[in-house]
Amino acid sequence: MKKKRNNLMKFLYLLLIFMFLYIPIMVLIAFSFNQSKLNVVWTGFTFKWYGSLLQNAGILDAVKNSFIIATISTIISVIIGTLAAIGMYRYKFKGKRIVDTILYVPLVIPEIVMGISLLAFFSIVKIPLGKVSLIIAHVTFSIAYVVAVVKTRLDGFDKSIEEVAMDLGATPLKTFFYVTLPIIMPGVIAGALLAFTLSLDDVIISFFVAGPGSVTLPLKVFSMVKFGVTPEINALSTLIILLTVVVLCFALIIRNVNINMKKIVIIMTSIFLVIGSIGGGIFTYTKNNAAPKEVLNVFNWSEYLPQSVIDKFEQTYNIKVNYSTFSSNEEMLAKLMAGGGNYDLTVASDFMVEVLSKQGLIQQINKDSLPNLSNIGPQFLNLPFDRGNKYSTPYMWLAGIISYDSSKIPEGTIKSYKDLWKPELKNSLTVLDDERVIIGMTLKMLGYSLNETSPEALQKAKEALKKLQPNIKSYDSDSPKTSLINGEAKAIFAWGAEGSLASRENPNIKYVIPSEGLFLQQDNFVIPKAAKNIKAAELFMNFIMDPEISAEISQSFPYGNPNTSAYKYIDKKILNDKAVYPPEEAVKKGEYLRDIGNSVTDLDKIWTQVK
Amino acid sequence: MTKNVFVQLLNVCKSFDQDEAIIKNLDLDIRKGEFLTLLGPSGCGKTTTLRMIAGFELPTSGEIVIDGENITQKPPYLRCVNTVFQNYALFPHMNIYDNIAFGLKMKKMPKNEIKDKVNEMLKTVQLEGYENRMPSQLSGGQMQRVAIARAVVNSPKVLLLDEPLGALDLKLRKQMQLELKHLQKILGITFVFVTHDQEEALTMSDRIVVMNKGVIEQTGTPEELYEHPKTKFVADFLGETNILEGVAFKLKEDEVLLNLYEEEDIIRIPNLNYKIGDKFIVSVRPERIRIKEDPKEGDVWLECKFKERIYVGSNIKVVMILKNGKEITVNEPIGQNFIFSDEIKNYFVTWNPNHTIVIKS
Amino acid sequence: MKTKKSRNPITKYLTSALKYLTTIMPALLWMVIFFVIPLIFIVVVSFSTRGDVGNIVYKFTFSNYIKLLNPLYINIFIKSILIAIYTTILCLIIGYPFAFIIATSPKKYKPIFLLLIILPFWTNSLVRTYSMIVLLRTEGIINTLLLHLHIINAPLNLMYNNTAVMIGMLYMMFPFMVLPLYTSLEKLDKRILDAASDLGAGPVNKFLKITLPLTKGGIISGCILVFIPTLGLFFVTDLMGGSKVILMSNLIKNQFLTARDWPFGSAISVVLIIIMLSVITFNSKASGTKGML
Repeated sequence: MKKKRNNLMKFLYLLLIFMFLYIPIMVLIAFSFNQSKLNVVWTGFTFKWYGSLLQNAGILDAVKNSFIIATISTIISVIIGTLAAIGMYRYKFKGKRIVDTILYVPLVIPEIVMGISLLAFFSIVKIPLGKVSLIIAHVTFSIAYVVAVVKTRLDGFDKSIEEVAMDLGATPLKTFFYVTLPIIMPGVIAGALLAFTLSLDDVIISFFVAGPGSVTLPLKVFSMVKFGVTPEINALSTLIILLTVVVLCFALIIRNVNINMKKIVIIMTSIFLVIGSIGGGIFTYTKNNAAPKEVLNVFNWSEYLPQSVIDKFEQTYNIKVNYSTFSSNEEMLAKLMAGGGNYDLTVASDFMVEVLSKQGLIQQINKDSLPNLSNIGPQFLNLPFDRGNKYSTPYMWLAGIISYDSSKIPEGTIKSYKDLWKPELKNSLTVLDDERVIIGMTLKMLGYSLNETSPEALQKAKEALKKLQPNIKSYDSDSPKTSLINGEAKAIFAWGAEGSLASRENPNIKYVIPSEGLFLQQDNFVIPKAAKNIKAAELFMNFIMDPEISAEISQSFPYGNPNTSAYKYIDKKILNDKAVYPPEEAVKKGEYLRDIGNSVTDLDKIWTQVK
Repeated sequence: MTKNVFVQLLNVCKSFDQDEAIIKNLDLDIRKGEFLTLLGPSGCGKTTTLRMIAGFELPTSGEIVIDGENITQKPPYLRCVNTVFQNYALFPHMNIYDNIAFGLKMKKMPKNEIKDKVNEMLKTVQLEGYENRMPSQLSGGQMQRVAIARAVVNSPKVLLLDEPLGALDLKLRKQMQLELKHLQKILGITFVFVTHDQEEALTMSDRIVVMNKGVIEQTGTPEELYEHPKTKFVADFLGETNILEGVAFKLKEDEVLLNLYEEEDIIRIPNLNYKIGDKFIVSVRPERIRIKEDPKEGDVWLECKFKERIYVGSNIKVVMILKNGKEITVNEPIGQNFIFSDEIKNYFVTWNPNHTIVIKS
Repeated sequence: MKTKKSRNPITKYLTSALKYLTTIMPALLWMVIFFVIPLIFIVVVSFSTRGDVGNIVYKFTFSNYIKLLNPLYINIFIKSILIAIYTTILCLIIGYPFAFIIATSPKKYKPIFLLLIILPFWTNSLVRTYSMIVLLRTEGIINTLLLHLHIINAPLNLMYNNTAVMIGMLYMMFPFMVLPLYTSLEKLDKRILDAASDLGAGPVNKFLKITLPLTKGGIISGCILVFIPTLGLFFVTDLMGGSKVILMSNLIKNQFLTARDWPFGSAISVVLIIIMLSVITFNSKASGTKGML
């Protein structure tokens, strides 16, 4: 019976591995039908996440983009790649080896290298980041795969068939279309499927070369995973998996179909019909109104402006808003420098406004177009980083607050920044992934100013931060509240609104205003110098400062609102929320970040060493 | 002189990439309506020659003329020549009808004319009813016929066949040989056939061109080549034979006596103005030789010993060893059951001197 | 008889350069413009410096590379390479028997097994990573289950560390190892193994002396297909490591997007390319072939 036991062992091993491969996916799919928001306990069966998914304009937009880009890049790479494969197969010439290498190297280069090199290339050649740059990038990595697949098919190709065709009177061109192409068609189709899938799936390269208004599905999923709170993402994942299964089955079926020109035509038409109808359906979903004439590209922090406000703006002015987000001032600066003309409007924190104006990256605003500016409280205007508000209008202000789960950490344990270093907080903190904030906070803890740059101070800060590391579980600037809500972190050091939003989900969450003094930041709207649609940008800036709109923003993202006229519309609970509107004395003790010029590199060094 | 010359190869040379020349100064005349075979061992250049006629290779120098027209530089799709390939090379993605119709389609023939011609062709190769089948559904022999039909339906001036029967089993091959010959007679098209199988060549051809290492050894009818080979190679290649070498040492009125090398065995050949001292290479076919225990005067005879006996089915081959150590093969027809009793005993192989084929050295 | 040289321009169809130019040129041109030139550009940038606010100052300097010699960065390189090596080895050890069992399973099961392997391979990589996160989180499935069964008292810290990153990489790259292994195992002529048995080799010997050497090609392909991409998978590190784990890929991403030190980021990328090239040349020498397909 040894053979039977042998087989059993083999079977078990297979089972184990397959379980490893599939259980995570199964769980994901299962919880897409779960009533509860959290992917832990099963509370009931529902389709509601699928419903809300289909309503989510952002996702549908991303799907549409992904499909368009995938289709176009597939077509281009298949044509170019097939021709190249045929050429490589047929002809011998000097330097063939070099061509061979060039065509195949993309297969073994880490994608990140391709991504950054394309980013650099596009910025030098001044190709704007958008659908075009994405298509170019996708074609670039797809060509190698198409060539590989078609070449495999060609290797088994009988050359004499081409000779026969010519013998029978077909010119080389006719031979290609009547004989060669139909026979290698399965290979070509396989290559096309591969290219299509790769394009739909690409994360790394797209991450670098996508621009505003061209968010692809994987990028959208990426941002959703970072914020991952609702199971909408599970529903989306399930749909993606379903699509993959369908495509795979299709690929398998086509293997057994006889290669025949007529059947090819039928198959291709049906593919196009299917894609066309899906695309058309999505298209109509996302374009309910008449095609807008203008487009406005807005660049803002993530989780900073509710979709409802954007929708209202679009409807009021019939201008399409392409909304992109960033997670840090530095990221915004980098993207702006790479292609400032892509954005008509962006948000910058106090010190960053200084940097931008010094760099000549932003233009002066025309106050006459901004009547709503009068709604802003005077204490928020004319601040040191932009005297006279030549470049910026205040958007929101915020303070760094420590929020914690009182069910996990007893009240009173944390009263100051210093308390974060307590050993019992080992591996329990999520903090902002922002070197200026964290290093600044450490400096403040040590008694220095937030903007201190002296070498001894920095050295002390570095030592202190090193000691804090064991307590830090993760760094997150996108959505630190997520860690607090889902229990990953027991406490977070983030902007007050995060804590406020977290406490809405979990009443156990409380906050602390650190005794050493508040970390304050004021965010402002600015218009990049190279902005294309200045009129629309100004309309938007003004729109935001409308009291009711401003209040709506505060409702979703309870940051400090400088718009005093809006206060009467804002929920009293928020106005009284200490996380959002800390007491006056604390604010007075607080500090804003300033531009520290070249010393940034010193902080860079510390940050890398410490993390 | 050249009667009815239809295809001419004039001083054709072919070499690939500065390598040694494959074809050297080839001159060949092919007559209209004949079944000509290019015969030779692998690498002799027969396939290359065929491909040059077809247009898949360009001669390095020389000219090719078909029906008075110099087609040396013409691409294959502009020549009035069609080829039947060794591995049939049927279009796998088209059915039989479309395969056969392909050439006609390229000529832009009207659809109904194509239909007529294809159907006629299917009848000719006995594949009626197979129009809608795919090549993958056919047997080797059937595919062969489709390949032939596909080429012939275009009424080419010359049909080229590159070892078309190589992949078939023996019985089928023999059958196809006859069918092809028959077909050629009916169609009247000039066939140029390439093979390395001499039996096949002998069976089917009007004329055979024996090639070796890029040159033509001899051209002639099967009988001419078999009975009167002009070179040792041809004698050896066509059919089985025994090659003996010797030198003339005695002249008689109508005979010359040759002394076979290394021994004093003597054979006699008809005297055709030879001189003493002339060197000869002669060939004797095994079927012309008899084995006797006592020779008679008037015959050529050589002393030998028995080596082995090989049963071939249609006859028995007996291998004898001459005094000088060379082997001689004899065909012993069924019925003449010679019992070789003693390996040490001397036997004699004998034949009519007129059956000695002289290939003068 | 005249002997003409075959040089009629009209019928140069067999050797005309134009023929292969039209087929290969588009692809070649595209790759040169959008692949080779950008790469060259990166190398150039790696020898420049970063301006005050993140622009590029085109002055030739080695400063970026000298900066890389800092033990801090060396550590990151070593860590990245180690994680890549561990992932590759793990994939190999787990994947080889797996591929072996499938390759030797009865014919009727093979297509199903293959389908089951390819399916995750074709599923969106982010989706797969996310599913791992769901499992490993503090309040994720595994922890909840273990707590529920009282196997542990406090939730295991499965996320945001090196282990999590490696699990994420392993999960992502596993099919990439299995497929080449499977292909080369499949091609193995069973009759050779029979011959070995006939000559007295037991199962262990058969494996070590025959199967293993003959599948060397697949092993090397698989290792390369896992090792190289692992070095660049920044989003796995990001998501599974919570920005706590920094590898070369994150470093590069940071330099390009956050710290805007493109010259420095380019220098790191060049190092990455050099690592990759050495792996490939090592591979060609080891297996004696050029090109990996």
